[in-house]
Amino acid sequence: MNNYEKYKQAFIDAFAIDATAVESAAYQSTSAWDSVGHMGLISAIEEAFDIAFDTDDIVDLSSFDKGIEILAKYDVVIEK
Amino acid sequence: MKTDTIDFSEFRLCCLEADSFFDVPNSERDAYYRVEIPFNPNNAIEMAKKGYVFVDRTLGVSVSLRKNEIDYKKMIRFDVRKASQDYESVLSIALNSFPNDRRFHIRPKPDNDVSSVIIRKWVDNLSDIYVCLHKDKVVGFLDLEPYDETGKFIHLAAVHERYRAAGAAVSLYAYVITKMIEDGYEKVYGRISSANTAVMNLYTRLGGTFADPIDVFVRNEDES
Repeated sequence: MNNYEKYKQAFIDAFAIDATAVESAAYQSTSAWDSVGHMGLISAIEEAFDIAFDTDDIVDLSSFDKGIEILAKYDVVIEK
Repeated sequence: MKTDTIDFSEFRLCCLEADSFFDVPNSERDAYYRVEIPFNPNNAIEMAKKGYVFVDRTLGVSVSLRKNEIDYKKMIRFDVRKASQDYESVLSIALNSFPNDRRFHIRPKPDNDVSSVIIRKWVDNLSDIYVCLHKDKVVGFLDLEPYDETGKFIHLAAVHERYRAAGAAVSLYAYVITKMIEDGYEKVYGRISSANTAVMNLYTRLGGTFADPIDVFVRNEDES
């Protein structure tokens, strides 16, 4: 799996959503994105890329796109 | 039947806990009422005859802290501490966190003027508060109350809207549970609205089980 696929899989695993819904996933528009879902996503991404998020980034990761932006800070490049 | 009448300057609230609808008196127009009775399929019909309307069904929840392999410490990603001179922050979060909660909205349609008075009284009476912090700002709180010799009861908890999907609630609950394990408690208890799926998911993630449904009624204000 490349980084993009791993990143997408984290969303699928955390929110039990279809692959077609992943790229539009965002806090306000994804029903499973509550506190528990969010921490599940954080754990899944950390495990997939062997990183540990700062608290600020845990707070700011509010959408699929925002997550790509944040991962760049950890030298994880997500390209389609 | 347990009865508690609270006289606020703005209104009177009668809180009743009964074993069944048989025991509940007819409502009177001089006060707001909040009645709790164990679930029964006939509750709504029988309580309507007495002037009440169904507004919520709550569930008791318990989390067993022994023989539990959940790693609660790993869930704590925000700083959490005991509250200290955080009253205004806690009150602000509380006043903005319960738009439909039937512990505070005791009229058939949610009424913020009434609920804010009740929320304020609840916050005034909180006794064992933990707060969750981000950049030294209080972003959530949780209050524990005594329950029995086996554990404590999560009486009230809320998180600032900005942090609700950021894991602050998970950190709060996990921290408190960790503390209770260290103190030798066997269980943590709570009661939640069956409509609050977010907190239901949270307790499920923490290993909670649900039981003891209770129906909540308020006085029907329909004059027709």
